[in-house]
Amino acid sequence: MIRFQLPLLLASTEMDEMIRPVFLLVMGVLLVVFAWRIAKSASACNARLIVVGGLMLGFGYAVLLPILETAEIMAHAAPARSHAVTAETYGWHTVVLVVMNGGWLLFGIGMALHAKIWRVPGTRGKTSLHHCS
Amino acid sequence: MNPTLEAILCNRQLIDAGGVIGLGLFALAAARIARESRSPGARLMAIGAELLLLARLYSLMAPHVLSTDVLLAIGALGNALTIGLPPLLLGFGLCGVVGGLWVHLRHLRGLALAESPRP
Repeated sequence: MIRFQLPLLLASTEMDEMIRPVFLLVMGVLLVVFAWRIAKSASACNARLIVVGGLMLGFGYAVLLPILETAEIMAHAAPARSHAVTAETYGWHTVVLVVMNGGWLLFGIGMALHAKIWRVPGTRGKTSLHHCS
Repeated sequence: MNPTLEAILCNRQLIDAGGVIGLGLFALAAARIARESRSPGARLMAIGAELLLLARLYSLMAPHVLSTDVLLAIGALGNALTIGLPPLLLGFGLCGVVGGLWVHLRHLRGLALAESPRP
């Protein structure tokens, strides 16, 4: 039976609960750095979209999600308070919803415009990806 | 409740759809970059974005699909997977996107170094 529980063990051990916020924080910071460096090779409008989206995603991954997950772990540790759904909880979830989804939308649109996925093939030769530094 | 908060919470399907569309566009862009510039990083980025998309779609769909009957029908392994797989997919997807961006930037820098004339 232990074989069947392997994903469960991988996802919900105490170690994972401690590692996951740190992992999210590192990934968020790296995402901002790499979005910044990718945006240097894009045109002005796309660069703005990529940087704004990357900053929103980085803020979401590096700040909001670790705080939210830690708060949920704390709420599990103190079950007396875990059922209190307050305006604060709604506010947190709203901010996470808007920041993460907006960040992915802006970052995705910026990368899509940068990669020219709406270009008709064969009309203008090579994309800018071949000669960006 | 604050009317702005209420408007956002009432339209959360729309906002989630925006996030999913953005993630899909990112995956498309990564696939296009992988095809055109033959960068292994962009391939990794596309795989990561698709894993993230899968996990996101699952987490949006799960409350509507997973009832007690379904959970009983899929058995112990399925139950374990419904709990264990989405965080793993999210983690690997994020890892793939960030690592893919890194490898792609290294690839671009390598191309620029190879093309620039050496003094």
